[in-house]
Amino acid sequence: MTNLKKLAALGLAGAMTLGMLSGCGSNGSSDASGDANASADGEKFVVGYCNGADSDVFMVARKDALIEKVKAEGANIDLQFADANQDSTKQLGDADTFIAKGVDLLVLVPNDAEAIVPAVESANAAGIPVVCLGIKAASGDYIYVGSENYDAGHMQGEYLAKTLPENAKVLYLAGTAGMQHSTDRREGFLVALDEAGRSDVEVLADLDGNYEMAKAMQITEDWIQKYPQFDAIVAANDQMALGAVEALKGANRLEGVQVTGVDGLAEAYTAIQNGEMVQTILQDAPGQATAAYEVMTKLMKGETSDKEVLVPFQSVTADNVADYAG
Amino acid sequence: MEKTKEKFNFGKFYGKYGTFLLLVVIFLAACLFVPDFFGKDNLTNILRQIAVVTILGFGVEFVIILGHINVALGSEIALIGCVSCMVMVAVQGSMGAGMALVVSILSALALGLLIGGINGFVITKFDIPAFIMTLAVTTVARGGALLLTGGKPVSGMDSIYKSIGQGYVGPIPISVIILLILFVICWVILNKTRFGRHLFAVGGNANAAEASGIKSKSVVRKAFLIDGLMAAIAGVLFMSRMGTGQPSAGVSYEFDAITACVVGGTSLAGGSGTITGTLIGAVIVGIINNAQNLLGINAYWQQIVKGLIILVAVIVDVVTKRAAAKAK
Repeated sequence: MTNLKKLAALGLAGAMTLGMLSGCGSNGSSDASGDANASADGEKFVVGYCNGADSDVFMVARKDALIEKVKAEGANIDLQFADANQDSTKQLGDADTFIAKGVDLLVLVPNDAEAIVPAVESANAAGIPVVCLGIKAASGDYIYVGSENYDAGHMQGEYLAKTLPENAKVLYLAGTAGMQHSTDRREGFLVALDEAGRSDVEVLADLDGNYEMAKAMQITEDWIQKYPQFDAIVAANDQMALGAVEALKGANRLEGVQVTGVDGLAEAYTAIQNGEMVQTILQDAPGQATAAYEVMTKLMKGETSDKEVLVPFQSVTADNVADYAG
Repeated sequence: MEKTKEKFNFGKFYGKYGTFLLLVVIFLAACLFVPDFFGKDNLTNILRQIAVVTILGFGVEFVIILGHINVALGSEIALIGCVSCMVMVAVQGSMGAGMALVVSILSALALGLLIGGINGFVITKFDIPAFIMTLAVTTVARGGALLLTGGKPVSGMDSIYKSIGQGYVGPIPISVIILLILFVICWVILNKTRFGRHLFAVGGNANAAEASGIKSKSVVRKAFLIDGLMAAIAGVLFMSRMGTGQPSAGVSYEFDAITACVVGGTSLAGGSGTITGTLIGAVIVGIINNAQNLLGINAYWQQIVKGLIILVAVIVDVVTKRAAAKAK
């Protein structure tokens, strides 16, 4: 018996070590010490890519698309990555490391528009060109590649302005409070309704779902208790829209409620095909990656790039979902 | 030994009484001031919403009674839940949905036991503070969940998987039934078994317990195994409720679970705590969250209120315990 216990203990220790090792492997790629040959190899164009969060579905999709693109084109580009894990301070450190290494281009996926400014300025001072991907920096000299978040909300508003019945009641699932893109998406939505002359539409409630499915689900369940009838749930991303759908289905209240989200996740396409969601706004991850790649190749050849390369959002509804769903 | 035990029950009595009173006050306040709060549907809704956190609270209760802690629960449910989804997707084609669900749940339980086993083993073997050990597990488990899923949600499970978190038996959600069954099991373990008595003895005074022949390290390891099992059940319930495996979900759920314990009168110093208290604590937090959503209170305030609840609960706990000690 004791021997058995000892054996089990040994096994546990082994599994633990393995777990630790694999944990290290998953995010150790960002360290400055990682690649000593890169600088010796003068041919390669070294890009330091500071991602906002490798746990974010969209940010990962865009990063993966860029890696694929560079590989597919056989470009002479050495992509090096760091993950800020939603931490603005860590992101500044990531950027500093790349600047100290003397990369040829710094790509930033800002965690926050204001907090990233010191990184942009240090890179400017060091003469390293900067691309802000997806989210703008509040100031500094950089090339912006991405979409206008305001437009995503605006497209949701445009669509619902056409489809909502008279005096419709709407609920808004907001993105994380205090983030610029959350504010922009809401603003775009409200302005679009206004522009379409739909002052009859009432926003019953507006709560922060933190871009999380579970949180959005809980809020929607509470709304179901409070409001006997509403016509639409507008979510600032697809995860929250899908959470709302689950809650509505669970309460048999999906019928007659239009749910719209942002991102263009595969799950959202399926939901549109099943008639559970009416719309998602595709934030084009491959499109943004391709645009970023084109900026890179231009800079690599010593050409100049436009200061702003916009990749438009696309409204995906039951009419055109077949073109998008793989 | 006998003395510690008596003192203990006294404090326990006070803790229980205070928490229950708090529940009654908050419940009545919500009924009076929050429209749409009182009603069978909303009350069921609250129970369904708190199921995951409460089950985590039941598990971590055992650990906290020993004076230990687990701050990795949010990551653990993400990892375990995603694994259960991936297993479901992998085997449902070959063995049918019903059997696949069983395999999926069993693999979750096994992984929960493994994680609980590792926690308990490392903490007792190397005498590492549980906070540090589970802090390490937080990032390892989160990294593991993201690594296994490639950072993307796991979908494609047969709809039977959703039935655990979303289904009903009559008017009662299955998740609430699971919650109540686990409540009874945990209550019995804590109050009617030798292990339960040992738990309080070790949590109250490990040296004294050891002197009276209790193997305290073994008690700690068993408590972490229970904690791991509860995390496994909570993890499956969590993903099944959403119908997808979310590798980045569950952030800070450990603190919600610990909050339930503390509001329920459990002392973080160890040695005291009740399962009933944890359930009541979770219901209190659930009512407050629900009421705030019904009132449309904004996110900033909700965070402030959550923090204040913890603070007030701890102050009430300390004050009543001190009063209890004086009365003695």
